[in-house]
Amino acid sequence: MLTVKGARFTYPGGPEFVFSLTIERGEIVTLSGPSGSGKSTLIDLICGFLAPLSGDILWDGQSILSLTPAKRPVSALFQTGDLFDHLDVETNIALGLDPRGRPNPVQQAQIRSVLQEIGLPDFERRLPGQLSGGQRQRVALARDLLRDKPLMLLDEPFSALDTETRDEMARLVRRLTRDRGLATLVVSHDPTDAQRLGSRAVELRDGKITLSAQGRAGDQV
Amino acid sequence: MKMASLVALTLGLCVPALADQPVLTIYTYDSFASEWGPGPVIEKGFEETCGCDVQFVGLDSSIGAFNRIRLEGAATKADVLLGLDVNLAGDARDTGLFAPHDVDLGELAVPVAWSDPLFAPFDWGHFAFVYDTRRMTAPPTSFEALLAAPDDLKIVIQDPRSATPGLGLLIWIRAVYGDEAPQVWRRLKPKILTVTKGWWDSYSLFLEGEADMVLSYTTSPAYHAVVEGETFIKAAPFAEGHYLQMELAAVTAFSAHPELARQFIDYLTGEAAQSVIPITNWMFPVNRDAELPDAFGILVKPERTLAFSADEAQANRKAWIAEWLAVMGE
Amino acid sequence: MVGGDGRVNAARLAPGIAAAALAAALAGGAIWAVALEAGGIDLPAMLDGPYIRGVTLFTLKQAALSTLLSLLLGLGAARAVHRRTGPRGARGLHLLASLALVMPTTVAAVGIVSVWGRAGWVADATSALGLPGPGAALYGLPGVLLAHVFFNAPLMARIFHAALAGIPDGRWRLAAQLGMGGREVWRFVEWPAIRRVAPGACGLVFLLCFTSFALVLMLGGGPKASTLEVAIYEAARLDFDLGKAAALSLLQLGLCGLVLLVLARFPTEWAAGRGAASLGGRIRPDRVERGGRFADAVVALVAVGIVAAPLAAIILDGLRTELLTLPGDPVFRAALMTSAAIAITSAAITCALAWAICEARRTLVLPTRLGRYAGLAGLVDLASAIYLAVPAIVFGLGAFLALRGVADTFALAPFLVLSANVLLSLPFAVRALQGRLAESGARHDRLCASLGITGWARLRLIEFPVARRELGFAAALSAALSVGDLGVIALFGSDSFRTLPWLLYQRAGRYQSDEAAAIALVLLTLSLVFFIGIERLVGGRHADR
Repeated sequence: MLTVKGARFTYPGGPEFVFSLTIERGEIVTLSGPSGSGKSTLIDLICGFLAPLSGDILWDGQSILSLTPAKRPVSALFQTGDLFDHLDVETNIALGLDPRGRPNPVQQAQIRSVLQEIGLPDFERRLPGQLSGGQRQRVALARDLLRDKPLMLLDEPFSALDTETRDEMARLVRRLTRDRGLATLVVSHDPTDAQRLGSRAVELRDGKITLSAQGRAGDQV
Repeated sequence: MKMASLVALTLGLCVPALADQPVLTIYTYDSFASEWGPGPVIEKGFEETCGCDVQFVGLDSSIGAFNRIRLEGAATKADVLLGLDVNLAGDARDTGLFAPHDVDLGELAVPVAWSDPLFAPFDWGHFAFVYDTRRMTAPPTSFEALLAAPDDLKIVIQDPRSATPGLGLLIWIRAVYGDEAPQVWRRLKPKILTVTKGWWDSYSLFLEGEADMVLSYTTSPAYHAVVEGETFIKAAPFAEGHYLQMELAAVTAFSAHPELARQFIDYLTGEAAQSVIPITNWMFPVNRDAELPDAFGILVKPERTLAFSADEAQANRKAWIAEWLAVMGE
Repeated sequence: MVGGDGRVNAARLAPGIAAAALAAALAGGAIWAVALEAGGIDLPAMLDGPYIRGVTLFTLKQAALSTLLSLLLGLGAARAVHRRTGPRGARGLHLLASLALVMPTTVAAVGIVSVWGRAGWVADATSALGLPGPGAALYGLPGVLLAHVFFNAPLMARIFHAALAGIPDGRWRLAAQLGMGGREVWRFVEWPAIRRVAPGACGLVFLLCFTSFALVLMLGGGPKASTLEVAIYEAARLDFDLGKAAALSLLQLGLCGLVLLVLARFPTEWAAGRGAASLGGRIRPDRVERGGRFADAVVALVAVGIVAAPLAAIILDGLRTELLTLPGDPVFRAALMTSAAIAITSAAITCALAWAICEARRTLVLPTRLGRYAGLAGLVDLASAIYLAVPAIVFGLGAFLALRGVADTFALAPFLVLSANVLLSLPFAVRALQGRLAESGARHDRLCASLGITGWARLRLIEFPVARRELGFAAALSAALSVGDLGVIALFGSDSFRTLPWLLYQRAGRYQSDEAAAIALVLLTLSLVFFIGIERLVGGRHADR
């Protein structure tokens, strides 16, 4: 379970953000809020690109603040730059297993099977430029799946997709969260996404997380 | 391998000396020491009799060679400085870095009386304005004529701060006109197309046809006659006289082989070495017996040679340059 | 990666900072060595009355004007090429840009004079038409500006064209949809891209023009057109007044440094997206405008007059000589080999250092936004470029003074020339790489961090393929600058260590202007070979588009 406890961050001359949030395994939380409300900052803090000025971030009770991004139990899908455009699908996914990008036969088999799992069989040699928006998302997802991290962050994953693909992707995310027991945080400004995902929705306002209709104790007002 | 040995031959490097042969180090300007210059022949000639190994060190210019010795001071490796301009002799004497050469200068054929114990001349020439007979049929034959010529006669000269001929012209006009020099420059100014950093810059402008005359040497036509077979480049003789350009050699005070150095200077002014000078360095030799090629016969022989003493040149140089800058900047 | 208080990964920052510091130290150290030898800096000499002030003002004026004109012509040419031509036009522009750089200044001046001088092509044409000729109008500020534009406008044009080609297609589509006219296209589409690269380019060009010596004198018409470098040269050589030389060098360094710092204030963001298959040129709406056509025609004419014609003159001059005897001359071959070897080595070292510096620069982006290390990025830029403000003669003197106890400077000549060439090309390589590396960093940093892709794997897999084209340009540029450099080699060249420009200088100084012209042509060709060869090799097959 992810626990964000009073993680505080300020950009100079900017507003102060304080986050508190919990996400259980097998649960999806959708985070929404106006621009500039700190959504990306929260993701950066959880992933480890920024360090909070005070407060803590814990996974299963243990602080993860001292871990580098690669070592944290997090895999994140960003809005941009989620795939390397000059590398083929197989290499992109392989990078999730081995930062040298050279998969051995065992790993290649793993890649093949995960591609099947997300519905893109035989896509190994394709380049990201040849894929549609939804397909790119799925390849990135495949990579993150192979990393086998229990916490999954998705930053605006559906914004460039049409309704049908959105529904598909939402179904995929729900299935993966359930089957693998992931704790999933989805950042989205679209209120219908929470419904699609059947998730608990929280909102970021004035740098603080507020409850929504399905609020729970532990989320700070 | 073949190329390497070819290069070695071309550069005139001598056969590896025996371990106990003394090395005579000569600082000079690089065109003297290059394969086209007098260096290689003189080196071979001297090595035949000296039992030593002559090493030329080619610096970027004569001033560069002199400054290098100044920077090295007492620790200098140079035994001989070859190519000091006569206008810098005063500065050189003041450094205390040079020793007497003991060569008898009385027998030398130089246009002015020269008896300096520290500095021995080894070639000379005159500064002159050079022109192209195909483009100019009646060149001015005196400074007055040049000044009186219409302003569309364009000359190109060098900056005295960066080129020896430029400094030479400055001193030349001073020698002719004394304190009226600034006035002369004012009259000359409209005819000056431009002032260049080096001699090559202005000479190439002249060859391109941009300027009608260029400040160069009386010996420039000899090059074109001998090497290119062209006789349309000539120097204009000025009635007031031409200023001397003379190159000097000196023994360094901290030389490891002073006796050898003195012998070299003696050899340098001897007939064997001097015969090479005209067609490799394009200057007149100082030795009476040195043979002159025919082409030198057609060169301008100034009736008067103008020259300040080294001390006068040294004492006034800065002031003269400043005055020139003031006039040119008006 | 970055702490809330702005802590930053030192391992990524350190090599670049070290490289920049080394460059600045070598540049400043040379002056310091000279000052030390003189027993101090002659401060009054710096303010030596009206003469130095006048000279400084003129230097500033011609440098500023030259930069402005180069900017205008470069921009005009870039837009014209972008508007009217496709990939082949771009390739032509790139090649043209590579040629001017490599010319020794005097050769270029002679080329310009052949076209615009008293007895040049224009004069011949006007007299044939019975019109009054240019006469000696070239010799003065016009000549200086013409020459500086000749050298710098092509490079600027290439930089600007790359910026234009990098504008995402989406913006052009929008512009076409909205039917934007020339002025709107400039304001909304082009200017944002140009604005990012212009300050960096201008800084370098300003420095080059500021320190120009032989060129300014030769085409300037007289000592009224003296730059500060002339005064430094006089002090260092004729007067042997090292204190004054050091003082004036410091003045020059200070002025140039100030300009660089001012330019560093302008924000540089980076181009988003590649222009490889850029639609932009084809669909931009101002192609059909009459005003646009006219402007492009004018630019083309000016470009031909100022850049292409003198180049043609140089090429013709070279062809008229007995070019074919050159390869048989062992001295020539040796010089050619030396030049090529030094150029390639210099390019490799320069690219490595430039890469480290760009890496440091992009690592500083986030902390700078968080308010830490505020001026450091600007300082790094300054340090990498400041060598350009040091006169070659002072660097040579300083190097000699620093090394004379240690080793024989003639033996060290190759290393000195190599160092000087690296220092010379470093600022160009940094600016060539900066944009792409910064952009790729912004895009890939988080992903690489979360996937744990670091070090060699990151370089090989991610960075190099992405920045390959820019690296190719940086390498070719460094090689070309190195091959044409006649600064330090003039002081340390000898019969056993010759480069091509020095050979040219030697020959020319002995009346052998024909050989000099032939060697000039060889230099041009070599530069072309580098730009085609190195760019392709390092940059990949479509590197020069």
